[in-house]
Amino acid sequence: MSKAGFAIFTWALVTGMAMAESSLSTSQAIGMSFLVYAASAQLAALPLIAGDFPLWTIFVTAIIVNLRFVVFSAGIQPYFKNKSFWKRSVLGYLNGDLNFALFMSRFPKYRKDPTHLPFFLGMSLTNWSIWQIGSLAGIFLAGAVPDSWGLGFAGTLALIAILLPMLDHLSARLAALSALLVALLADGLPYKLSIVLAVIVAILVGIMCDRFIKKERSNA
Amino acid sequence: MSSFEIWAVILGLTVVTFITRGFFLLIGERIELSETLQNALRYAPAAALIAIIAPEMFFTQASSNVEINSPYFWGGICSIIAFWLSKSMLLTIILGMLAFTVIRLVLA
Repeated sequence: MSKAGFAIFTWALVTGMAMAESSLSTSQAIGMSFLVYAASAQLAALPLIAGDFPLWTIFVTAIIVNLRFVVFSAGIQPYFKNKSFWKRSVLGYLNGDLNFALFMSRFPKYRKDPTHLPFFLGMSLTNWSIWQIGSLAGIFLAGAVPDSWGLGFAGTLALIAILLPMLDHLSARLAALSALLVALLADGLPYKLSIVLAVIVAILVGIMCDRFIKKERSNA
Repeated sequence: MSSFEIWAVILGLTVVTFITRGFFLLIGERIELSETLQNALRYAPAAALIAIIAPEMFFTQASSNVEINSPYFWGGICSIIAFWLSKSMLLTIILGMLAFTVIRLVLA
């Protein structure tokens, strides 16, 4: 857990710095950290806030970036389906990338087990605390550093670090490459429609590659 | 953006986190995710992240022509190489920022 804790702290520190270097005030950066509590969505929102894009553009982008959590929530649903609504709401809110990965590797198959809830909560609340400390440290550290250092760019680099592990097979890489081309070519479109367009093309390319690879395998 | 609008963004994003993270926990067992849909959803987040990262790396604030002679582009490239070699998030960010800073000072 110490290695994971260190990673969360770094990630939070960078997100805090990126928020403080953007057009957010200190209280807004702190508010965003405590309320939104979703690094990739926060970092993705910053350039859109700076670019004065309409609010719905920012929300649609955040939903797409967060779609992976919808899939995760389906994964942990069997373990907690008997809990009350408000308990499930809290568990859902805390269901991040790392929690999900650690929970699923500890409990790969659903079996009745009273330790699901304490394990999940203990891990998530530790994650939450380390995250908030790192994020606050980043927000206040960034104030001590001159703007010309461009610390905000560290937020983009943190997004690169979360993006690259997703590209772990051929279809995902080709889908990513097509998303890159679309994003660059469609950059001039209003409302950052380039994001939605890149997502649609990437899904089509990804699914077509999956089908093609499956066919090749069954022919071989 | 006005201060009010930024707070609206923050509250809206809070709702987005709440709904996406808890989606299937909140709605219970009423809907099941088909395998086709699950596969489709796998490719979306990476594509959205790329569409956010690419303009930061490839375009300068002054123009929307692809400009690779910039600290942003080479900082990004170095961080990608650092990730491939190290698989470490910390090194990805540190080496990327280092390259970004060196090139920023050289070009200045």
